[in-house]
Amino acid sequence: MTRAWRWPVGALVVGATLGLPVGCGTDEPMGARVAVDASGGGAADGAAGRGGAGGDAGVDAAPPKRTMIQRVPFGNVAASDNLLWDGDFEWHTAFAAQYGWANTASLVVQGSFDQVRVGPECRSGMKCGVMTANQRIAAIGVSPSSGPVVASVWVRPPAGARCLDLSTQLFACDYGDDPDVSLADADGAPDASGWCELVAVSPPRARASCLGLEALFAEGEALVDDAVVRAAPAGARPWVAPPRPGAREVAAVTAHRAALRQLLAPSAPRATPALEALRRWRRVDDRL
Amino acid sequence: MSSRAVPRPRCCCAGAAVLVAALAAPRVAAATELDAAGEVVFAASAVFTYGFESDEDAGAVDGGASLDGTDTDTALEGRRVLSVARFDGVDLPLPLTGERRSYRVSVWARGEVVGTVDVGFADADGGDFAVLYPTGRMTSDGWYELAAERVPIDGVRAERVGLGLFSLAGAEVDAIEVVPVGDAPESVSCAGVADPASCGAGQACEWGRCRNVDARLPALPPVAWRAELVRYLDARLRYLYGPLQNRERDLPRALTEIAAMDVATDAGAFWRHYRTAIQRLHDWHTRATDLSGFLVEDPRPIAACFVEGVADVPGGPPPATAGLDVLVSHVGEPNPLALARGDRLVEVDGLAPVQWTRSLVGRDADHWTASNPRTFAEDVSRLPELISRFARTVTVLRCDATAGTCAAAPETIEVHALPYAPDGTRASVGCDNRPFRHLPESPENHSRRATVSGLLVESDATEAIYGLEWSGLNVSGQPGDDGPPLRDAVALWRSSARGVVLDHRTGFGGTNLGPPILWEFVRTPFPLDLFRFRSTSDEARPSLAEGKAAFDALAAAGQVELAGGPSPRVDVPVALLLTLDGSASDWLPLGMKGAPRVRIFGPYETAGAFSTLFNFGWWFGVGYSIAVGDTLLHTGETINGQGVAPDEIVVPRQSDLLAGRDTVHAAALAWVRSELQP
Repeated sequence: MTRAWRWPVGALVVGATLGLPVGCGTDEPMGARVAVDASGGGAADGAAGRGGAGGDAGVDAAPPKRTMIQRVPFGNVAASDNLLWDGDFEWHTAFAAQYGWANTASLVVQGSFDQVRVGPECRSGMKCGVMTANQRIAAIGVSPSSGPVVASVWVRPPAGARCLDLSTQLFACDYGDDPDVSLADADGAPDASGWCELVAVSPPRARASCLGLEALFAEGEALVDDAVVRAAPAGARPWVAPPRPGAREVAAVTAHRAALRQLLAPSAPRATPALEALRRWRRVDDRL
Repeated sequence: MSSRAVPRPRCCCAGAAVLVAALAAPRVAAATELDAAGEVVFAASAVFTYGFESDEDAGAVDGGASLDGTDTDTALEGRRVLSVARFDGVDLPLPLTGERRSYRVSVWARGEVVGTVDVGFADADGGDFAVLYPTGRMTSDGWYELAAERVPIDGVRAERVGLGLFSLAGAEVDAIEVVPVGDAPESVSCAGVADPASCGAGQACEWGRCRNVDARLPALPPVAWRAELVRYLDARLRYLYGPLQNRERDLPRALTEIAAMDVATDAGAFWRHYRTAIQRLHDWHTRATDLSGFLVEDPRPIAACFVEGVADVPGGPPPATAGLDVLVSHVGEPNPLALARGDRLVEVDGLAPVQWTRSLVGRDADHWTASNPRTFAEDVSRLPELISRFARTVTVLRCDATAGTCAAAPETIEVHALPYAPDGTRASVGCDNRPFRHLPESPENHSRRATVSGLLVESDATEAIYGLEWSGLNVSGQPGDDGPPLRDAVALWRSSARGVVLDHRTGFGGTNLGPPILWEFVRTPFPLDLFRFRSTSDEARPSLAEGKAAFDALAAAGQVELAGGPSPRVDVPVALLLTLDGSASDWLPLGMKGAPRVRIFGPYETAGAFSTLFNFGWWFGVGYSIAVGDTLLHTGETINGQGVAPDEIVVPRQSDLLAGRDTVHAAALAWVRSELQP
């Protein structure tokens, strides 16, 4: 475990100690079975998992072909003080040339991060990010006005990979005025559902904060979801100073920053391939 | 407005076959559900269901994709799904004509899909549309539900109704269901957005007819997490919105709108408050976005372009006492309203034109503004489309170019009653703030996509005053960007020009690589500015001294932007003409101002959009672009929200327009001539 800050016991306990919503995304029952319900309703009624978790399919022991899950389609809005623009990917649009997550793997690549998936495999809400080998991405946000900063993100590494195979740092987006802080899972191993919660607490920060992830695994794909950066609760304080990032982490952060400075330089709206395709399909012409 | 790509069944039996299939489907629930075995059960009250099975209709429809299902073991309903390729779309006819009812329309998908219901009418008044959004319901094997909870359809008038599905990354679609949920208001004519009587709940008057605008918005979020969502959206603006001057000036009003979401009782009010909040941020880059531009088209374009100017010709009501008058720049077809260059637009719906456009905040989904509170070029440039869509009347003062006078009294035109044009009709001219053409290749249609350069028509090879007319600074190194024509023009000036007139009176911005191409021609490098992301949730404007100290420190570290190049042609006078200019088109004059032989001409300051933007969209129907930082000038000021002021304030004069004279261009050309070296 390479946690930046030492906690009494593991991240979950830390979260509880700090008063954080432990395991963001638990607002949504995962895999809740839903019985046939003729009463209507659905998300618009505010029902969270109609039929409830472990709902009764009724009759025999034969497993159902599928079950119904109710998600909050805006994601983890309970983290309303999240200082990342869109840590949950729910407001991602393929029509965006610049978005709250950036692909920082290459200075050549133009445009925003667009490997976003919809599905129940995501940790919260409807959408999550997908990373493949050698990829680097970064979420963009600001720092709290004062005090320590809590950063967290859920990642699901490929089968057989470890949590640390998603190298994750909190860093200053543009220039390195603030400390780079590595995030880590409590025990370094994915939970039963394959997810890791990477967490760190940073000393107070003065510059825009970004959360960068680098895929260190060789093959397969990882899911990324529910990234949160926010002020640590009042009274929370680190127990020890964070370890200095290693050479690899320093190189990754340097690469993140260089790409962000270039990719996110001032620009006007421009059309993405998805937007152009929609315009073609809808037969929308550019106006004079 | 015409509803785009509304599906038309290939034959009358197609819809019937679908209906037969629907009637055969099992129905026990009120919306699509799973039974104990995990199989789909359609709503008992569904009037239409479709699962792409072999015994259902299998014809092809508009859009190119076939409705033939693909066999798969993982179909949600039956054995087949519709596969939609990446960046492809399909229109599925819905047999919903004949009755006036509202429906819940839902579809299940795997892979991200844009879903809309498109309603087309026969009389070319356009149509209407609804947008499908995720309900949050998903299945353990990867299907998710998209639904429009209430789509009113005046099936008595509607000629066709279709479900449009567009895939962003490849998708499967299954289990389409349409369930009646109540009555629908009649699709009636109306007299502009201010018409208080004609339209019903959830409707608004657009292009002279009541449209079901609430059906374009998501449902009202459930109480269980609505307040959290409002706080989350509030925090995006409160903590993350970048421009510092705008935060002081405009953010409080935006947050008031967000707070109003908490007490909204219907989806329309809830989401319109959100749209209004975005628009109240009053920033050039910061705009609400939706799908209107893809689904509706102005059914009666008004081909009359306007500029702000001084009404100095005798006749009619007195000129504006506050701000500028709005004058006709040029006209085309269709619907020029019998206007001519130099005529005056006195009022729209009884208000001064700019005051009227500002009254549309919240109603006009595409509202666009300068970042500073003093420039209204964006409002004026959109007047033709806004009048067509929202106005009841315009009041104009016609003038006589030959006599050089205007009528004694204005005339009021009932624009809401303009006839609709045939489908596909578009205005023949663009509104580019250039009343006259000054280059041999200046496009007759005033296209704002053209970049043209050459010897000015007012000059000759001996005088050698060259010009450039263009609207974009999008330089990225990608094919087709604005870089090559700009570099070619500069190369020509270096070899041949004694003077240059840069006509950037429409400047849509671009990238930070655009302005340097022109900066390098006019000055040696100097430390200009630095764009910075917003730093902390409470970051406020620094004092001038703090800003200056920060800039100097950053300049010493080599982290600021330099304007200029090593070999400028400071012997060549360069005039820059501005009117509607934002983002990179703000930076262009910022870096040119103060150069040795540069003079900037225009009626007012540029937009002041010194940021970059992010785009966000919630399932394509609700979205926004937003400025995420600010720019620190070498003086220590943060400058998003204040534009670049012209060196010489020159306002188009009505008398010049009538006389065939381009006031701003003439002033610039006169200055360049006065500066020519022997």
